[in-house]
Amino acid sequence: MAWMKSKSLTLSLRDRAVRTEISVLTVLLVFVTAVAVAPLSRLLFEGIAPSGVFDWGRIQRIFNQASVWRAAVNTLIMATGSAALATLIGALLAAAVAVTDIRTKASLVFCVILPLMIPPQVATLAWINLFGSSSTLLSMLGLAAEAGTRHPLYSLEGIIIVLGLHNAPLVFLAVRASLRALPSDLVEAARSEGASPLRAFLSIVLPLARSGLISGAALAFVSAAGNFAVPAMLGIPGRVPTLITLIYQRLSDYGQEAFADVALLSLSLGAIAVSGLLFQSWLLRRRDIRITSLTATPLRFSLGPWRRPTEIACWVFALGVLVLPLLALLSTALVSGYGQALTTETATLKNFTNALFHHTMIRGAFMTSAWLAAATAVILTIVGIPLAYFIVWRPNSLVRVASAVLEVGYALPGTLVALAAILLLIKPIPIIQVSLYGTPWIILLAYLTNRSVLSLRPIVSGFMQLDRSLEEAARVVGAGFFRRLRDIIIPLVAPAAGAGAILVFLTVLTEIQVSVLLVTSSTRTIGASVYFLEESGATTLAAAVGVLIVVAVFCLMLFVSSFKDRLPKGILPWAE
Amino acid sequence: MADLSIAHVRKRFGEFEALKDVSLHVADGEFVAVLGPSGCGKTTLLRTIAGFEAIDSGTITIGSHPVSSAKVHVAPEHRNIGIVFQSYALWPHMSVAENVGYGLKVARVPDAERTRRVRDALALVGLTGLETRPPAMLSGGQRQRVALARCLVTSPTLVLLDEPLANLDVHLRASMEDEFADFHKRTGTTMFYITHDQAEAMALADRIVVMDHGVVMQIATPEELFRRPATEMVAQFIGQGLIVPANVRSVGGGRCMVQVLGADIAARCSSEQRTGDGFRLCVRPRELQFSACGDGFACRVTRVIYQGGYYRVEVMPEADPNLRFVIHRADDQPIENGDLVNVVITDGWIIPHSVTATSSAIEYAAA
Repeated sequence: MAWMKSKSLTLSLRDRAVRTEISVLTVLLVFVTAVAVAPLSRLLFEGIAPSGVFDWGRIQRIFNQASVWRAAVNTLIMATGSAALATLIGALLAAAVAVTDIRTKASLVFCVILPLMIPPQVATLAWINLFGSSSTLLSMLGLAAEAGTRHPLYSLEGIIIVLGLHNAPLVFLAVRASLRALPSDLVEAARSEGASPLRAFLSIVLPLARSGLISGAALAFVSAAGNFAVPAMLGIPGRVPTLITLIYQRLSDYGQEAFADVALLSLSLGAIAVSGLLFQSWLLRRRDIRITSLTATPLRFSLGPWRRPTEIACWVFALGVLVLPLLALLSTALVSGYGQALTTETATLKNFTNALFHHTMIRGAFMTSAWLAAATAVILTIVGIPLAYFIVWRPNSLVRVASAVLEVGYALPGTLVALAAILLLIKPIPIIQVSLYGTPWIILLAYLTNRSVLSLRPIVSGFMQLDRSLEEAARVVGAGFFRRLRDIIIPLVAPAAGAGAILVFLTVLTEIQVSVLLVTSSTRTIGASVYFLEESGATTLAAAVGVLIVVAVFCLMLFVSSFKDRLPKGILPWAE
Repeated sequence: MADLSIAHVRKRFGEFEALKDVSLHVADGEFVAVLGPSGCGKTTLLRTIAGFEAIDSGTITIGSHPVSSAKVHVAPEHRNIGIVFQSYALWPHMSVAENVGYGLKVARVPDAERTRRVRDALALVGLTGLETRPPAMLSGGQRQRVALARCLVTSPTLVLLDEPLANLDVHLRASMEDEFADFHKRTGTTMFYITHDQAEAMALADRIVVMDHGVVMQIATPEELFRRPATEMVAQFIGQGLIVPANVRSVGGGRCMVQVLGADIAARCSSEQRTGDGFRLCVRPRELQFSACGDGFACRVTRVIYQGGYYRVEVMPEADPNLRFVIHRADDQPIENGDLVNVVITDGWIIPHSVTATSSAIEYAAA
């Protein structure tokens, strides 16, 4: 093995302290192999050489199908278009919040980030309900389209708009982070050289915020390429095929027979996602701009007379994107039949009581999602702290590979990760002869593959902000690895780790991408249930579940925000 | 308490050779400072002694225990040393007393004894009464003292200090220097002190190790280092030594007659010094004087800087336009750029190991 060649490690095998570390590292690497290396390489194998040999003709045959071509092209257009829209919106809002003197920033940030925390299937359902001919909200205002007209969002443009709005907060976060790191003296220096505020913004702030813009745009692209809910709920009825809906439909139509073809389609979808990330690192590779300034004074541009109009514009947008669709969703959830107008006579809480108390499937799905989300968050935090320790402070080639594989597991669309888990676990596990297929455990495995980076990243950045000598000081006074972990490292990275765990819990609780392929009639997740209810025509019930999900997410966010003062700055994405 | 022996230690990071055959010995109870410009390998040396870095060859022995060699590597937690870090590395989530007492807790020292020892250590550094404070509520000097108390409470055999004063402001530095010196006297701990500040090293250390590019240049007492630098690098790094080509005409009893820029002067040299051309003479600013009666050599004034009470005058010898001398001049004797003056060298030191210097001196003469 590569690290055995490293002299310092081989010789120090004799030392008790180093032996402990090597054992911990081994356990971590076994974990990464089980949750990421094994399923992903299984998928790669199935896609490229299903029968054990590489067959170029088969690959050509699959890609020569017109439907596959159309789906691939649509996927590219959808991802690029929505990333452009998300970047425009996200960057403008981030600039307004990060470097101007507008007021009510805290609540504005909360409203801008909230769409990110609302699961895409619920958001899409809300948009469908807002603009459809059966829109309860619009029919109350007399604005609903004529019955029988095609839904305006059931189109490629509709997909792009909904995805772009959904992913705008991703760009917002990335750009805001890079703008926040800008110290005011850089701009003051430009102003003293005679640059106007606008000039200083364009020539100093914008180039330095470039990395945030690029990584935000890449995130939006990757997230759009792998999104399931939006193209499924808008594209399937609108007859706009994309790779992800093609994969889903072929799997549900043909089952196991379609595995090899679907695996190949997944790989091409994965290639699109990864190419977005490669393009990003190519763009960022050129220059390493480190900000060397020591002042901590944040940057502020005074908008003067433009402050009030800017504030109004931001709020109109934030509320339009957030409140209008949610009102549409709520109004649909309050009527008994889809398409009814909401009046004092038609208003009913029946959908909510059904969802909460009478529908055993929904209750079961909620319980399953809750424990899966909790288990994922706990496992990833326990593994993430020692793993981040090695990534940041004891890097070696194996650790680097492990973290790269986990990055891949995160970058790849959840649906693809789910397929990898199916391929790995469809046959009974050797020796114990138990098949996990159709149980919640396969969903847990896919969550671990797909979400580990979400918990790992904050922990890694927590470690990077720590002075390494804090740990070295503990070593010197005689504390061994586990002792240091317990007394020094965990208390110091706990806020970052906690934030990572919360992000994992919140996103897993309501997700659909991963579980939509893995759920069965007996094992459902709450995120997938919304989609299945809508698909089966129970729109009002789906809307009620969606409203409940939004309320639950909102309450969790508020609950976590109440600890804001105890968390380090910048850990909660939605806090200003 | 223990001594520290470092023998032929080598350490590389990839292509970069950080330590090249480093050997030195620190006696029990001695205060040794390692001095050198940044990147000279002094921090790497400290980290190999602490055990944070393994070495490629050579041996490091603390007391009678070999702790590092190509085959042995004792982990830092088993070396029984203390370190004061440049950043102090106080654990922010623990109070002052918890910081100081952590090592004792790890060593399972009973509560009562631990409390007593923490109290004593804090009293020793003058921090009694601050036990429950978090480190964030301490001043820079107080943090420094907590770090010192923390590293001493476990009675380490050896204390390593990594530029501990670098983060303090100037007036605090001077008083902490005094405290370190007192502290060393009181406890008699073996101390190994890394710094890039020669005044600090001179004020504190029994002996100073000068390092450059991963090589030990000289190990000597501060006086010896200043008066008798072993290499050109030491001569220039310590006390602003100026290097002048010199031909040694006669030697005897540690003194010699040398010819410098056409003038004959008396200088100091080692007892093994032989006569010959192409040697290097180290001259300090205070060993240069303006001459009123026309002896010495002619120089042109190239720069005059007023420094409060005296001028710092930079001159260029007419005989060699590549050289620059710095001479101090009282401020009641004004001088201007371009003035022609005569300068005499009143004393100097012939750098003993001038093998490489000889060849460069020849090139120099040819140019």
